[in-house]
Amino acid sequence: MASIAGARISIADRPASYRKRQVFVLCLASSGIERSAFGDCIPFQTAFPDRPSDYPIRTAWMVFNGASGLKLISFSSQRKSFPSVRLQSTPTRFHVSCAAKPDTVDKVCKIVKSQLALPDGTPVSGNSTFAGLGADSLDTVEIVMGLEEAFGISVEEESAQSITTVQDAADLIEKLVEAKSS
Amino acid sequence: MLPFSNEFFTRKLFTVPSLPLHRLPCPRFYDGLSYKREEGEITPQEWRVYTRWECMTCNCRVPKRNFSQLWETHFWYIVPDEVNSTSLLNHYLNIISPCERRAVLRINGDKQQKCGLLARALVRTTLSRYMQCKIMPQSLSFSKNKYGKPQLIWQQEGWIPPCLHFNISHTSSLVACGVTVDLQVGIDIEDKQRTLKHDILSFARRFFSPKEIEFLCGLTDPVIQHQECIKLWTLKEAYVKALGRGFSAAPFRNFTLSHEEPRFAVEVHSDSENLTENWEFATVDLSTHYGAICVEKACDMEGNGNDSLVVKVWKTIPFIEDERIF
Repeated sequence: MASIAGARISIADRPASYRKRQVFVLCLASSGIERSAFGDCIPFQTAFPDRPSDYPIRTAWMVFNGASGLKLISFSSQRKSFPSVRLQSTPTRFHVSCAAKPDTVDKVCKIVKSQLALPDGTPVSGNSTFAGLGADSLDTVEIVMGLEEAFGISVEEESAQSITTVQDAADLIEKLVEAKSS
Repeated sequence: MLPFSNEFFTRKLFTVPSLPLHRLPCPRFYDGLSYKREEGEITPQEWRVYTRWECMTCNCRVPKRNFSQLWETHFWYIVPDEVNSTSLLNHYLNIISPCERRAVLRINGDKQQKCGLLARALVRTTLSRYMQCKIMPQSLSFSKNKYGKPQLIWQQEGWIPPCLHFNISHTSSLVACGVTVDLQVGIDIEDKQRTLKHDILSFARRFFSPKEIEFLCGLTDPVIQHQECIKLWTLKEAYVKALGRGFSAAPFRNFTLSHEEPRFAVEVHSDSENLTENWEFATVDLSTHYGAICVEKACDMEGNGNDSLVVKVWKTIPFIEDERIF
């Protein structure tokens, strides 16, 4: 079974007119592809995370074509937005698995609510960002300290760099807990 | 959502006076004389190429000053609770870029949304003050370095703007912006009444360097200990923001902030490739907040490092009023 190794299409071999002001976005066609084909986590990023919304997109489809492996189909679209891709200022990562258990996420939410003294009823979920909940730098490090105490782990500052949401924190915690117990 | 999202805004409701000019002395200029190189006078076209000068005396690549008197940083702040006019807030929404506007409107919570808006408006209006009215706040463009520190992008042809560096910091009750010319800057502010959820010494042991922990342990009065902990935090945060690396890429235990009256100094213990020691610090004591500023030290031609940083502080409501504090 072929696997998708890396998800960036090089546009260097395209003519210059194609390259200019274009964004190649990889979309994985959802129909007809078994989820089990992607056994590993396959992170990919949108080519230009800070792309303004008025840039036209040319979409390239990587279609898993059964026995013959991968086939690249170029799909030209002048639409200004593509519904299956979220275009945000932060890089988008595609994860198939490795998400933390709901219990861990709940525990993290509880610690965050307590640290930030959020009023009851404030929605805090895996997708909530710390900045969006009103955490400043001091709040963030105190949350990290609280999580270290609650889960008995040690979080290096470098690994905290990529944590922006509650889900990111929960994922990292589970990874560290697993590493500690193994 | 912002409370004024349905407000009807017309130009007649709000007139925009021109921003008052504030001359920020540029280390390159002195009484209108242009900067001189050893070989000859630099022409204006060449200023754009040389944003940094190599120091001739010790070959370090830090900005060089011919005149040691001019080393200033300007600190501007807004108190969000004092800005409640819906038409004014609408105007701020109009001067920020569409991308920033979308980001502000995505913020949850009215108070945080207002802070986010004021932070972006403060940066644009503050920087525009130093452009001699040639560049309007809405015309400025920004980029971010690889650690997320925002920076100004220069797009102007014909006129050579000063090379401004800025940094922002905000709490729920204050938004601040520090500005310098030619030199990197980082600022941080914290509420004086801010309490830590953890015990101060446990917090210090987790994040600070051994010398700083020792210093805090030596303070017996818990109120003073708390104050010094917060001040130390703001200084360290200002340093990592000035470096452009932020907390994650410059762990606090790798360097020590020491206070040798009347100045502060940074001592680096590890990762000396990325953490440097040529930084000057200043503190700003506002009634409700502690502020810390960290500015790159320019290397004097004479090698004289005795000049201290001059900090000027303004409280502002952009387009409405400015009040010089220090």
